[in-house]
Amino acid sequence: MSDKRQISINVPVLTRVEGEGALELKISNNRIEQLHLKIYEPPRYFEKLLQQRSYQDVPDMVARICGICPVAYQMSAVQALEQAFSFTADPVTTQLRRLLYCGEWIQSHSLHIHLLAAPDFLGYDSAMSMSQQHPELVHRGLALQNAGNEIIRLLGARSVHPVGVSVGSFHTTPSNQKTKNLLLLLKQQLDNSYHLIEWCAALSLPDNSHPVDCVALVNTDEYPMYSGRIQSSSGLDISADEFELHFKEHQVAHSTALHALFNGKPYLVGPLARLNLNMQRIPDHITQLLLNTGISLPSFNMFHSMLARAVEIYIALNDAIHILEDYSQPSKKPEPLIPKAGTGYGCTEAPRGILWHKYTTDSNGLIKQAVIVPPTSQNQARIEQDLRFSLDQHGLDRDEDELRKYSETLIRNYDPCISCATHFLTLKLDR
Amino acid sequence: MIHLYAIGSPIEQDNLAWLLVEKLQPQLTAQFPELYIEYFDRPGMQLVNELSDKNRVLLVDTLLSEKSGDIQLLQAEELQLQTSSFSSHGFGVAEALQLSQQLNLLPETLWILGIPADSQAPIDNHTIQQLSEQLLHKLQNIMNHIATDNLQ
Repeated sequence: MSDKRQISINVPVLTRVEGEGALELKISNNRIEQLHLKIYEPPRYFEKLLQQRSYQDVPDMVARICGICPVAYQMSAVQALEQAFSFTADPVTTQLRRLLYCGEWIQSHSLHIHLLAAPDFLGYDSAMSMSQQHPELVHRGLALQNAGNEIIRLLGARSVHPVGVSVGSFHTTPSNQKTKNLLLLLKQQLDNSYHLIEWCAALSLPDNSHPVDCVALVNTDEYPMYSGRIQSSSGLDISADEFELHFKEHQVAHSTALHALFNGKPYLVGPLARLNLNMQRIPDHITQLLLNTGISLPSFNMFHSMLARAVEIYIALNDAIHILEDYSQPSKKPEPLIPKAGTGYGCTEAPRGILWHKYTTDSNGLIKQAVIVPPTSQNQARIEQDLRFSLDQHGLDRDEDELRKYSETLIRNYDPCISCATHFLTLKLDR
Repeated sequence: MIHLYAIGSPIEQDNLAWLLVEKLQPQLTAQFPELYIEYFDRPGMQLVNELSDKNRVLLVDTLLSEKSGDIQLLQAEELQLQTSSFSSHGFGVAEALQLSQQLNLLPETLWILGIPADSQAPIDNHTIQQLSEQLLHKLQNIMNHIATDNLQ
């Protein structure tokens, strides 16, 4: 095939992702001339909408940013606001927040693996067509997703856009009987979650390993969800209030979502980055299971992202079980929270990576300024960097359909949530 | 127990089914105590799980079309599969129902009521009143039909 051909690939609507985006790729003389991950979903101005609202409105408002990861938005928000008010949540609240987060990770990762990513690796165009040949896979995904949703429902009254979280605590705590019932349901999913890791590890996956700076929370006591310090594989170790010193957002013409860079360079957030930076917090038998299947950590093969999600489902499910086993409904109401003027920072691990919030409040707790940096926004520059490397490695002389499919699979490794970032994929290839 | 699921989203017109059920809820629950009403904002694939362990479900959703019309009683396979901005990850009600059907997870009896909404025009109070009367009548007919079946 001549290397002088010019190809233009246009994927006008990327499927099996949350939100609306596109990919434009121009290849000339076997070189990528232009590659744009275009996010055209309109900006949503949430940060502006929050101004002049009471701190009490924030958890329910930010939950509306995303139907898949509302808990993450609530968790980073309450963390930041409590810091602004110099308030420390009680241990029961902290544990219940981790439990709620476990629910979100389980449901979001299960959805991604079974209904969004698996068709790519089994040769189907959608979960619908895959389910005809592999109904057992979809059944497993739905069962795990349901377990996650039931956790969210326990603490948030409903599984989508939960409403139970408040700054300071929860509006109500679950009864001992309800937690016992949920405990039974979660224990029934333990085998499913272990077999899911085995299944992901056994898949024949491409290898696009190349160096990338991973950024994630690291916590010496537990696998990070709700708390930890922001660390990178290049040696960064900061608290949430230092984030702006190292991470800068900027506007690019082809996206309604801001691009974020770490010290001027793209970086990776999300399950694989978390796994790479928190290897010591993975149960030994899971590390051994991965080694037995030829997978060692850290991994810089983005196709291991699905496996990372499977490991995180297992971790989250076990954590949720432990929290519920130790739970007893508190008899006392939590300490009242008194708002004050201040600035607070929150950083937690959404299913897709670190989610950073900053709020400035007045003495009545009204929001004067809100800044939200979601994970997909942080991964955008990295996705473009990965596409450039991986498409080149895969071979730019391949036919357009093959390049389009490979690009979409690469992008889905990141499970991008465009609605969160819009602030995603229709591929337009020009060569 | 008979479950009535009202589906919607905050997007104008797509919230019509939700609004109508909300308006009728006091009357429906007073007249049919065995009716359990729930609202879902773009449930996506969670709808499969919600349907999987139920016997009788009434599902009320908005049908966006180019013109308004009468409320329709639909079959799951009549719903057009589509990737729309009113669904999550491209999984809407039609996709969830199709997947439920493929996995044999549909309730024993499922009634799907489609509320027509003109996607080009705002919904006025007169239309809401007309549609709520129509919906109430259809729901009453279905509930009475179930009651008659139970007696036989």
